[in-house]
Amino acid sequence: MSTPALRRMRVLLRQHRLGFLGIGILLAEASVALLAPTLAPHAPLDQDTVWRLKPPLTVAGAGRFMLGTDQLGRDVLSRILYGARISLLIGIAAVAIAAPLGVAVGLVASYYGRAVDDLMMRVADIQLAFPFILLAVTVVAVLGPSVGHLIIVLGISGWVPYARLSRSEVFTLKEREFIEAARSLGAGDVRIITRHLLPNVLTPVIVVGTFALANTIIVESSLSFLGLGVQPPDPTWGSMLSDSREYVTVAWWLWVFPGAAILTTVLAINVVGDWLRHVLDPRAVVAAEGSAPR
Amino acid sequence: MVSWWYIGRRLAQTAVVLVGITLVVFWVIRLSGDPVLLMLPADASQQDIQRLRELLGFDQPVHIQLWRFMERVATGDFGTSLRFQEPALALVLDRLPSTVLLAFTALSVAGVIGLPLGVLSAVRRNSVWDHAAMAVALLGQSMPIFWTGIMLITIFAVALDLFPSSGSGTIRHLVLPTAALGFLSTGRVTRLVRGRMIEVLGEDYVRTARAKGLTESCVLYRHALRNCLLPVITILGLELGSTLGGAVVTETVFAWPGVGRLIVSAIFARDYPLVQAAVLVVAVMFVVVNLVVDLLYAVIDPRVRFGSSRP
Repeated sequence: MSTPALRRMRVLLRQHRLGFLGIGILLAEASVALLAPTLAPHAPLDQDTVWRLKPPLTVAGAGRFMLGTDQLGRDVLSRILYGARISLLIGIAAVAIAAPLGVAVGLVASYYGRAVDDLMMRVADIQLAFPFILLAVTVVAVLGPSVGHLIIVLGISGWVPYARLSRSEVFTLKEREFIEAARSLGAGDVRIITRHLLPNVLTPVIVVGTFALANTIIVESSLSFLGLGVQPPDPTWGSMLSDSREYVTVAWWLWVFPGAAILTTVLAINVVGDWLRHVLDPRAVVAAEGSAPR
Repeated sequence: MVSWWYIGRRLAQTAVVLVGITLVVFWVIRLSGDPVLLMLPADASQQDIQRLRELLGFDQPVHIQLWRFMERVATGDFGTSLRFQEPALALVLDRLPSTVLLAFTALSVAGVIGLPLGVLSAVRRNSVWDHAAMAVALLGQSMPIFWTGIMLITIFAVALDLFPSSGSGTIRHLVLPTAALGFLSTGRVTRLVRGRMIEVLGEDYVRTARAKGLTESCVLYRHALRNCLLPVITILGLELGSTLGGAVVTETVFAWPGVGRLIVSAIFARDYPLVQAAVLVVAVMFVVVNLVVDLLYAVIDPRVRFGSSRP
């Protein structure tokens, strides 16, 4: 990204206070996730049935439970902090797989056009024909739920929006003079794709990737909620909410705080996505936001 | 009149996708290596494993298995549920009406609330209304639906005791799941309508209509709104498709007896023939909804007939 673009971003960031807030929240959250072992007041897996289902601010022998304890006497705050690590790790890793995969498919499909394009778009249609959550549920159930499998499933199945986006960008780009110029200077296909087309699709891809990250976090928590995500006792926001269902009436803190953690994260990412779209690519479409599991 | 060429092309594409879906469903349960081990409890005896393997035809070479699978699917035989010992397709179709009912009520809510709200936001751009509507829409999109569900249950079922927290049967059972699903879809519809409406209101023909001295409501509803309905149809179609196919989470939270919940319980019961049948049915439904939306689109917007795909 060139310096004028950076300067423009800084100016627009100052104007767009919400975007600023979103970035602040995400940075704070990322540091909290990284520092979870030092920040967490208790070990996330430590059980103490004497102190089970205690409300927030309870003072116990082992210290204070700021956000209360769950049905096994584990500290809710510590579990949320550790949960941030898993949620962010899965989200970022999945996007890091899906984006390059999708961009590569989209570039190749539109650059070569015709049969290659037709084939790849039909594969995209097939992928899209499965409601995302359903495919994820089935594959995870077959492979066995684990963090690694979740990342692979969410990563591999998330490529379509990137592919469609880079494909439509390249369709107009490849007829432009600078591509012709490059070709007449003897540049090969690989060089044209990587040096001339790729840089031009990166900005909209960043916008799509941001919304995809938000969506991935919701999908991961939904899978954990269904019992097909990260397995107990490892804490994730989704599984904490799943556990809370039986205690909805007696322990409000069990469902309020993990839910608020998901909401804050996803909201912050969406706001940043809106801001990025505003700054980088005003034409980017709403479809970029993808479909949340329901 | 929509060109036959366009219809034929879309039908051919749909056929390819349907075959692809069948292949994926066939392949997915073989991902782990041995599907029979997946379907039996861990302490199953060697004889049981062998018996089920022969029963389901997993002892045959893969290409013969695939051929038989395709053959059966083509004739509408989706296998037998291991748990219920009944045809899997019948079990799925049994649950389908509940899912369809929920999807349509949620979609109606999204359309009825989202459309006017989006228009209002666009017309009164940057007003308090606009900001409030956009904030609520963003909130709806950022809340995981199971959390919305838990919250609705806690407030309206447990604390206020207005609606039942789970199950189905009466209209009152329908209220909370519809609210949860509707909240999510309404946000999307509102944002989309607003965006399109703002675009359309800047067009020349809207200025012309105003210059002719038409009333503001005539300009809005006859000229502007009509032109922003096309993408709205698309998004409503997509919303319908994903709710029909994937209301897995909502149905689980509210114990709604639809296909989504059937799939989840079948997965936990290791009833993979049933999972296969349900996933296949749902995916086919999704594809058909998309096809209908595309064809509808071509009927309404002549430009689409000459293009290659939906813009």
